[in-house]
Amino acid sequence: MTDDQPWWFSGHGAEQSEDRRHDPTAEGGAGFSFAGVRLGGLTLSNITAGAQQLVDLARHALVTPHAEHSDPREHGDCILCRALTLIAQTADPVDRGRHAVAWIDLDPPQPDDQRP
Amino acid sequence: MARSLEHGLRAASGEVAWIDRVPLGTDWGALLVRAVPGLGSRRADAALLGLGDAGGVIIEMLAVLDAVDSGSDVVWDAGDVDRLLRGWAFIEFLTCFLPDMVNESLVGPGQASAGEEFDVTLAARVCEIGALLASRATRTCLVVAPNHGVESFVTDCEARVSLLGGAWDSVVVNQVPAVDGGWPEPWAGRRRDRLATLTAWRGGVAQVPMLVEEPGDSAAYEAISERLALVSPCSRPDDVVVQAHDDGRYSLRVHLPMVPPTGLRAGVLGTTLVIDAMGLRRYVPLAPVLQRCEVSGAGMRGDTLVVRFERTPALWPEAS
Repeated sequence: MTDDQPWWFSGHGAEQSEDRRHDPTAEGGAGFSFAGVRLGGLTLSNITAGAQQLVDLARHALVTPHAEHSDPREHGDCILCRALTLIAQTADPVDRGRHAVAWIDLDPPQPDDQRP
Repeated sequence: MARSLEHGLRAASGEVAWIDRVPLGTDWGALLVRAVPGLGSRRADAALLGLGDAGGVIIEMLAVLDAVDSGSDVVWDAGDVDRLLRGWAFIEFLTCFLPDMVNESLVGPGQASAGEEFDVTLAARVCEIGALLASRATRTCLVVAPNHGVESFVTDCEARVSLLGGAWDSVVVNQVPAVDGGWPEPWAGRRRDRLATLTAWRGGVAQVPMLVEEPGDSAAYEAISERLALVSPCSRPDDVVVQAHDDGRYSLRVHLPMVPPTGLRAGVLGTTLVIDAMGLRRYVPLAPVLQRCEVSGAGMRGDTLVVRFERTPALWPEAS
């Protein structure tokens, strides 16, 4: 994992972000409101419910905190380490084989002519 | 400002659950245990602390989910725009890849470990966060000051949230000098002009007057909070569409309004389309039918990214 770029960033626009931090308008904040939102139809909610029993078991288990994993590459059994390793690899400009993004050569921009 | 909005919203719509920013260094454990019922492990606390700002966004969103599940209307102060968008992008990433990674972990024989059990729960909740952020029932508010460059700043924010599939339903312009307030000109006039530009450009713009003594804006924010609560939703980018063509090819259309084509990249990572622009990445899971195809090209058509796919012969029945 490289330390010079956030895992979830492409790395492009990092200067832009830095500039924005010094922008006088950068006080800009964001807020959300969620009025009566229901996610009952989400299948993954059912997964959560099903996992509840398993989590109860976890309450009594001794687990190793992810925070103690200094090098994610050495902890393949830790899901967060694996996620961090993967996202670092995808953001890395060096081809990492299986985890490399296969970039597409884009057509020149053109108006929406509805053709595929 | 946020707390004043809360007071105003309470007055306007009754009880509102308030989710504030969680400062780094605080004890997140109690909040996590509350957000993920039954989670008694300190593993989550430690793990999410390690994720920095993105971890904070995830924790706050877990609290939002908890409040939503209990039937409350919720207001979340998401803090700095960059922080929010980075966290959102990270949640998008986790939503795409975490479920498969968890499934891979659980494929092995034997009883799931405690860590794996936690992973299942966290993965499910993270997916719910992504759905809630993108929900058309969610209202988003961008707060800016009418300083030099605010127009381009708002444009940039519009484009970046659009890349992630969202939109700002309202824009609050703070510290606007009143015409007869005795503020020095032309400084004050320029600030009002910038507000006028934003108002002409888009709907859902509210202003908060600049006051002589700060902080003294509570009443002003409370005054606009009812309007914010009732703001009409701004249109979101269209849903991602897969089109089947008569010649057996397919195309994937991703609506990206306001996203500048310059510098935009698109690629494929496993079974996910990656769109890279403005320092953020959007992750779009490929439908199963597209996973049996190869990309034959892509390009922007107006404000829509169209990715063309052709069947991979080895993955299709010969008769099809």
